[in-house]
Amino acid sequence: MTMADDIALLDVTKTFRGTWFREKTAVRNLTLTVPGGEVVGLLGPNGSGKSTTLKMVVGFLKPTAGNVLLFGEPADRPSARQRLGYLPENPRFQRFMTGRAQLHYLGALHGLSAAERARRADELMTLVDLRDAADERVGGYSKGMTQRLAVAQALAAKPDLLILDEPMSGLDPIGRLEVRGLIARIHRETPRTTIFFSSHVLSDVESLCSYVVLLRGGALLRSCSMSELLGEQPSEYEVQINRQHDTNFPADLAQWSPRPSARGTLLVASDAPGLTQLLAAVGKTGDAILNVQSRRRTLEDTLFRDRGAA
Amino acid sequence: MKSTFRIASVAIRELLHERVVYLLLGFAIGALALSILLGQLTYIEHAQLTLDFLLAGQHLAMCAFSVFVGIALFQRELASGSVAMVLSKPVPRWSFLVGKYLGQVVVQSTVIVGMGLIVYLVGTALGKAPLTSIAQATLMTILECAVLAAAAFFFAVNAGALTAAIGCVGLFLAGHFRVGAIQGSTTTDIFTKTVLRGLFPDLEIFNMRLLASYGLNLASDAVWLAVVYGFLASAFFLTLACLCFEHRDVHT
Repeated sequence: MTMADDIALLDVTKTFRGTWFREKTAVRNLTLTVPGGEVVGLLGPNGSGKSTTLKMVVGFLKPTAGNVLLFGEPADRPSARQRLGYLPENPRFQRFMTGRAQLHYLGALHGLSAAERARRADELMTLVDLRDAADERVGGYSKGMTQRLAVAQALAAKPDLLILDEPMSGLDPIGRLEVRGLIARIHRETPRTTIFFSSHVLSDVESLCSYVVLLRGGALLRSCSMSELLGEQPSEYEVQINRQHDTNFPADLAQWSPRPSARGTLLVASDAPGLTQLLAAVGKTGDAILNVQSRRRTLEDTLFRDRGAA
Repeated sequence: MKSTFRIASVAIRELLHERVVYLLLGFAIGALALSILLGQLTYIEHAQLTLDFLLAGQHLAMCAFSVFVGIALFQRELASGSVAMVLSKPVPRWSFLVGKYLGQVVVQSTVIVGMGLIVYLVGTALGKAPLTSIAQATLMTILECAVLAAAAFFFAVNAGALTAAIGCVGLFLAGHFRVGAIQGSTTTDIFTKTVLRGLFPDLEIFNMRLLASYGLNLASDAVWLAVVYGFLASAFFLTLACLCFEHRDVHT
């Protein structure tokens, strides 16, 4: 761990006791650091230990073994949370309070003065587009509005570290887009703020994160920058030819993973030398080449490849 | 401490929003009905019987209130997940519990005082309103409910809602009948008797309702003893609750 790391998990294990003393290990021997100023995605399938990890970082869960540090302090100390903003997976508020009153209340718990709270409440309600509903009771808010209010409360004290647990979970496509835009905007406007968020929606992580942490079965699978994970170079070349992919399809082209497309057949070469060979093979058949394009590997491709390899 | 009072003020608003003041209205209507009904049944001790019933009603209703509201205030925040909003702030866990407890005690004490006022008004209408006795009985109920609320928080932190409620009811019964049980037991072992005394709080120390219905008062040293005992017992259960909450996982 270095001084620049906002979060450090040192050989952390978390075991839950179930019925009849059966134990379930949700996180095992996890060592991980999150550098400051990055947008970090915590990825993994359901049950991989994402939420458990985040809850240990926020101090809700106590690790069974190992240490969790937040800005160099044990995570369960209240002072460690002074520079933290947290959005839980399913945010809930006191239903009888208005959105503005919630921000005042939670801002006060962060130690903000009354004047500061009033100013921040106005700013944040505008930021999350809830200005018109600021004085309505939270009980009447839609899920999307509640989620945006939860983002606002997490930002109340201008945190250096923002932890978002499945921020797009349960939202409709428009809601997802709004929250995604909000996260991107927060990073743009406060680039020093570290954003650490969990998701199992790969496109969200890919579009927002500069750094990714992959978990599987409670253990660390990989932790690296997004560009390192995806590779800087184009990873595939797609060649479209005007022949239908039917029973008469030449056997010479079968090695290029042919699949039907709208205008003929799509062949895929995994690298540049392969593309040269593919084009030569197509030339021999006499088929017309309609299109050649390079395609950057997506996070989805990478994860499925890793999964296949595992 | 500021955060504790902030949490307490939200707890007060939460309880007021749940219309707990309707309890007072229900009690007032019940008091009037009881007074009229007892007037039909008894001739000579109408006022004393009515006061006795009303003080018992105030006591039982508010004991139930303190147990169930104490459990609900904590468990509901945990079940809904709204506790995550508070505990992710730089707020110690004990502050959350103590804030909730203080909010509840303020509201329930206000309701108990309101009920005491209704008892006094009904007594005045019946020609027998021993103000000091009613005030003392009201104070004792406030103290007992504060102890029970603290115990409710302790059980709620360590168990589910149903188990916590059973624990609190058990504590209430043991607290009121422990003296008789210890005196009636055949054991001569002083150690066993001491353990039994130490295990459950003595809630009978707060019982002066019968005296109050006769217009009698407690001596001031007995009142002070009850006040100190009430504070210590509440602090004991609340401290235990805070210690347990500090070391448990918070699942949201």
